[in-house]
Amino acid sequence: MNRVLVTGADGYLGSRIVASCLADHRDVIAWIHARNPVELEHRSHALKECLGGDLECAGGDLLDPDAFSTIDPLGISAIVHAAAVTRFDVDRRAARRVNVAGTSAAAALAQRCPRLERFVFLGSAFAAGLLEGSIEEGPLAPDGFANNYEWSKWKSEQVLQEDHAELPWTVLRAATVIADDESGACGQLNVVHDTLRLLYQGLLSVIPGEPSVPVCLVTADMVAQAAVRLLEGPFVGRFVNACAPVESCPTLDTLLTVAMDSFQACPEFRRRRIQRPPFCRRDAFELLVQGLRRHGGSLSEQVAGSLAPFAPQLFLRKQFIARRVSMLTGRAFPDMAALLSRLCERMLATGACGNRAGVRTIA
Amino acid sequence: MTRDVFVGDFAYALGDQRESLGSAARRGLLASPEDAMKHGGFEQHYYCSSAASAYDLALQAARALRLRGSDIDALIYATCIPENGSRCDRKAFASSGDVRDLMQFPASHLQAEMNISGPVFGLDQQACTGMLGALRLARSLILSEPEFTRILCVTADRFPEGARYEQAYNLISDGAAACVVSEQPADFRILACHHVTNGAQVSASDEETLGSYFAQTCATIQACLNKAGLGIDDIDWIVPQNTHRDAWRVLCSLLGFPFEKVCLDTLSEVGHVISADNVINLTCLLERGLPEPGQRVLLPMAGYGSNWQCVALARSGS
Repeated sequence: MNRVLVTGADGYLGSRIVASCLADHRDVIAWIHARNPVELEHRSHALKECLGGDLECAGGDLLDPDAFSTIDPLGISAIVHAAAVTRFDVDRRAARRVNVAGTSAAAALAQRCPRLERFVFLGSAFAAGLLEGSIEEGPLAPDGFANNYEWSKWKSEQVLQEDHAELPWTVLRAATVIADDESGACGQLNVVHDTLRLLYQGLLSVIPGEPSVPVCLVTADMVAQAAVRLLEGPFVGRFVNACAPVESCPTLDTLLTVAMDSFQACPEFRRRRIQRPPFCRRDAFELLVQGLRRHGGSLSEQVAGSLAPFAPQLFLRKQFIARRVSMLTGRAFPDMAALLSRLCERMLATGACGNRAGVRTIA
Repeated sequence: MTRDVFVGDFAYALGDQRESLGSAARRGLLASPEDAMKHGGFEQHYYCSSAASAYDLALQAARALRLRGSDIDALIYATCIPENGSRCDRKAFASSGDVRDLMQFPASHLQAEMNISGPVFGLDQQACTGMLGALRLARSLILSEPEFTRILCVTADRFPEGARYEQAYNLISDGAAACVVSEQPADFRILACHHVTNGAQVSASDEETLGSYFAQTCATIQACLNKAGLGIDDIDWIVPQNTHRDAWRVLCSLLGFPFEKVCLDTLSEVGHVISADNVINLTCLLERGLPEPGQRVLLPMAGYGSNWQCVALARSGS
């Protein structure tokens, strides 16, 4: 039996990869990170409710060295390792234990699968860390990282290259997911949506970053589709940058303009006469964040927790070379500025802009 | 061609009680952690004893100018806190039911005390920007009505008993300031005034105020500069309200203005004295022998309402 094991199967991207596999008539084992049987049962039930009742679910604690002990390696032909902590403010220990050691554990399982044809690691464009300039679809050697999440995704790539070179792996580096698909619907809020919410609410006093920096974005369905195509396709031992090619990436200034223009359609936003926040230098933004942290409060959590760990990237002129993802999906990337406009409309329509509850720091 | 209008004769008065930041924290007068306020540059503040009123502060500041009432054509009296705009006797009103007891206007009292014969203008609902509003109104009166050549501007506020002495991350002092706007040459020539009100943010929280602070301050300053036909590079000093020191570091970064040319000299000593900060800091700068003749100064202020004002000045003399 040729079965695809998808880890992080009830995560935002993991669940879409499972759905894409099912749509492709593949036999899937949905592996769910859970700390105990009750949590596993609960999360399995929720995933089955979402994707179909006969989905086979398994699970374990990714922190446990025997996390995959319930998986029979004989029937596994492919693994998509999507399980990860995706918070930008993750601490070093958790990033190491969950993301790096988790990747090692998944790769070790892959080693035990005699019929394994492919190991797809769902990486991140942020593995490029503080690199600037062209980011090729190849190994990375960053000088540093803006946060532990970035480091952990780079380190996970290193694990595959150095410790599991013989595995048929492919690294799929996902950029920041702006929306589920071209409709602008959004099933999970991340730093982009948090920033939009702060902007709408008039709480974003400045924007850290260089206006002309290109912002690399992707839709969740593009990532999921690329992951499925990789299961038996090309690019063994290669890297795929899952983001819009640089020529299609809007600048930070364009994104801010589109968002402000989109919000102007909302009478309440117009009434409050929210000013467009000015771009500020990195040192000035850090001063502001430090001040917010000292004073505390919900704004401090929102800005310091979500935007601050991401902010250094907004000063770096990265040009992702992304030739392979369109080859895999057979689709052109959507116009990201137009997609952002649709996203803003959706967020306004669903009330997501007005909700100040919950801090999201997801990559 | 528009005539020149000047401003000078600066004075101020502070609440009669002084206490350290730590003491204010222990008395529960802060909303933020003491360390955060200290990092912002605040060390102590002044507040009024129970018997002292905002009017007492106004009188003290006005008297410090040693003016002859006959030399003053009008009085503009600005307040931030609404109840400082009246010396009303609530007990008397409760007894009499006569609203006259609610209209014991401090401007009228001050006019009488200072022997000023010209009319008075009460100015409120501009919060901490009230003094700059007074300067603007005085300038406009002098430019538009010949009977006005020399106008006394006063601002005075004390927080009510039981009030927290932190607003929008700033340690507050009770205080008053006074100055004279005139058509005769004085310390500074007024180059331009600009005022923005965004009534939709009248109930803005501290976080919402912060959210709009940088963009709106920059926009107000830019609009004032445009009116004066100047750019930020033409400005030698910014004499702002006493607000968190790092806020001005961020603003300087946004404006492209050197932080060392921002006069926050009195921040640690007096904190944010409601509408009097510009006058207090300007007085301090003058005591340092600055600005030099011909140098240009910006006085920006932000206040609830929300109100944003900026006045551009040029130091008189050759």
